[in-house]
Amino acid sequence: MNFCRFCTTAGVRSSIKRLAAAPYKLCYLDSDKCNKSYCNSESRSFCNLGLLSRLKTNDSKYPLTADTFNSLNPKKQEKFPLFFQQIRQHTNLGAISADEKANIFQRPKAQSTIDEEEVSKFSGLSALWWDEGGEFEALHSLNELRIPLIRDALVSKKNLDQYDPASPLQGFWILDVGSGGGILSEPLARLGASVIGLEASEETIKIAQAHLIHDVQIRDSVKYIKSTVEDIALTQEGKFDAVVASEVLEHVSDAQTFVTAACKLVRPGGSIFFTTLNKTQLAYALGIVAAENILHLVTPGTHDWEKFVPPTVLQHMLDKNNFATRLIHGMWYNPLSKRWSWTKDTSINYALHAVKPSTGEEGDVWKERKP
Amino acid sequence: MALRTTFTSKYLKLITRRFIFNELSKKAFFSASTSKNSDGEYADVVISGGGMVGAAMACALANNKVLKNKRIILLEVGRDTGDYVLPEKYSNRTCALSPSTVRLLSSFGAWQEIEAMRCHSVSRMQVWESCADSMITFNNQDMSESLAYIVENDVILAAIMRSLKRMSDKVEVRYKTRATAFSNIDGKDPSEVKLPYVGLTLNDGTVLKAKLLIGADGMNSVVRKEAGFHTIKRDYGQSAVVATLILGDTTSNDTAWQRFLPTGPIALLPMSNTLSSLVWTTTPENAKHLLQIPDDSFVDAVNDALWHEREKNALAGQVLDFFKNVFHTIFPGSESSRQLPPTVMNIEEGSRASFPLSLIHSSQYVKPRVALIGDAGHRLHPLAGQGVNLGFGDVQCLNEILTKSVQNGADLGSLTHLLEYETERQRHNVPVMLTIDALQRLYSTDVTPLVMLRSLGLHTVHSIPLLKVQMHIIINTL
Repeated sequence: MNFCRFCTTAGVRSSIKRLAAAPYKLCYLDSDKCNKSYCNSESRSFCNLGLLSRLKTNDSKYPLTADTFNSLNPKKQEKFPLFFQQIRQHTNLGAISADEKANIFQRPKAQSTIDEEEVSKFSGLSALWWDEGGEFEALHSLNELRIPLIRDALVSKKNLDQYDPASPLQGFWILDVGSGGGILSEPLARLGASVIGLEASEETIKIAQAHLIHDVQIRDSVKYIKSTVEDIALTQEGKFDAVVASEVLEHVSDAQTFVTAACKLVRPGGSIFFTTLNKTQLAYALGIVAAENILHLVTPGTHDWEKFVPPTVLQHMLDKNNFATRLIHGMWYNPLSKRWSWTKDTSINYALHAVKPSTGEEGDVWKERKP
Repeated sequence: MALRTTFTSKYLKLITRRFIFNELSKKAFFSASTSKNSDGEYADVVISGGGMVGAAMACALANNKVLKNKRIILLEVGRDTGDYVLPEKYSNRTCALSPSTVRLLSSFGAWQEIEAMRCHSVSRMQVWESCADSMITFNNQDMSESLAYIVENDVILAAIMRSLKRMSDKVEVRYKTRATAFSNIDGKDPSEVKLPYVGLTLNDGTVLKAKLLIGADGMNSVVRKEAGFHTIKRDYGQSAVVATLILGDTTSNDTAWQRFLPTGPIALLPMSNTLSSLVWTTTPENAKHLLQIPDDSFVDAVNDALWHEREKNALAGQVLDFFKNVFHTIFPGSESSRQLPPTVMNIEEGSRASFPLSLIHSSQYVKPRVALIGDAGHRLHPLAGQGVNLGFGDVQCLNEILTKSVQNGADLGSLTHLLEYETERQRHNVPVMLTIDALQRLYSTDVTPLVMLRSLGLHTVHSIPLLKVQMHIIINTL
């Protein structure tokens, strides 16, 4: 059995529940020790248990803050003195700020909080991102294609008894690369997935958070992190059920490094999704000249044709990472109806789905695991 | 007792929620979110108006498995009337429910409730007019299936409310509640920053933050007004007189009768083997007169309206006879016999009432995070008895669209999906409204050429089976 020790200590469970709501939720990125069968049955925030399990192995690389435990119910502290004593021993790093910790331990810094002042400051900008008829209209309506694509590909890995129509992606961990304002992250979270949004710009993260905060149901299942795929791949190898890089690849300077890093993050049996622009004359004419300069669907200068990646090249890059490409579909945007539709022709926009082969012991059946 | 238990459990739930909440805020996790939380409750869908259509919407959403994790609130101005006791006396307000409405109501068990109370099936419909001999009848092949069901409004509402009470764990019904102020709603202040919810301040001071606000608050919709929907209004200059009629000498009362008079149509809808509901559209002066005269004079007036022949147009009659012969040669056997309407013996005491008629149509049904359903979006002439069916059609459609949007992980208030609802419903509602409006205009005249044209048209549809089947399908899908 691979229970973390605190899961097995019955009396402590309730205090752990309290802890679970603690501000270092992001620590789940580091936990994989706890046996899922117990943690699964409770709220997702139990993933902190995995973190606690590291105390046992004396792994000081992943610290806890002393303040958190001190703020707990004193009666509980009396009741389980050993537990708290042990925790205090390992929480002497509490004085170090989040930024410093991120530097010391080279962990992606969690942008987990946003204060009230920032909410009002960024609300205006987030309204721009989220105006379905505004600047990002095409991205909003692209959800009608990419969400079903991701949903159906992932759900097909579940057993019938694991499937819940109200939250089909329950239990899946998805990394949304280039999450921007959260246009893709939020719908995925609404389908039940736990989503980590990677975004390079801190301001954009704040914008995304200013919107997310109003959605009580999903605000705890989406986390935006300021980092890059290459950085996060150093610590989070093989942790995600799916990595999604939607409308990102065409902005990346070194596609090969990007794809390799993204592939590394996918766990065996997991999926990787791309949507991007093909490198064709037609893509230049429609994707850049028409979309940017004539129709003004996108801000001029958004795209650089030189960076576009043809599907065959992308497939080759995935092959080198031992990924099997399952599907390449063309996508067509109708500027009059402002809706996307699937098409056979991949010469402008296309979507690609590839899977990492599952290792022998994994089997083909999907099991929930926390990264 | 049962009521008390549910009340206590609700209260307990509230307390626990509060408690957990306070615990969280004490620790100041997610500082901003918790403080935001304290000045408003979040809800996924708020339905304003608990009439037939609004309550049916709540039932349909509560019954939707895909929406099981969503918080749905129904606001109703009236108080909770408790369980409905079926009165001996029939009400004078009735609806003709179409088969598709019956399907919708069956899906959440309300139709079964109606059947357990009372309803009357219509298997045949005859439409004719006072100026010519043309007529049209509709019935299903062997008269076994119903064209429509006549149900009292009170019974429909009571049945839906019973279904809703069974699903009280999924829908929160707030009685004696209405929204007094709206914020973040489109059409108010364009410079206002759009937050991702509609804010509603209720009359008890609570603030709701809804992802989607459904306006089901009737023809004088507050939601429609507050959200600045553009509406088209047309006053027909007509009033409808309703009453419950007692019929004589009928064996089975299963035909709906409608006769067009130049002043407006008079319709008899069967409610039981001896009772029919009257909907008589006429001039406001005549309506006033009809309400004042004694019962026996009123019965005479109804019988006269159904039977009199004094407005017959001789020329139109001759032309029609000629055409009938021609048609009979081309499509032999297409002639079906004319049935005679029943004779009205008496009326239920005090069942007479009248109300003015108008057409209201909102040019749009949706705005970001707001959708209109039922009379809030469209109210039409009661001529075809289609008003409430269009409303239930809205419920069905919006439920499907919201299912789709949830399956795509979209925000419930997402305009992209709501627009689909608008397109689909307007494509359906507008032709129905225009047809009914045109019919109303066409039949409100006794000018010879128009009388001739309309009677020929009606006879053509009646005589050509293919056309009639088409018409039938259209009527059935309404």
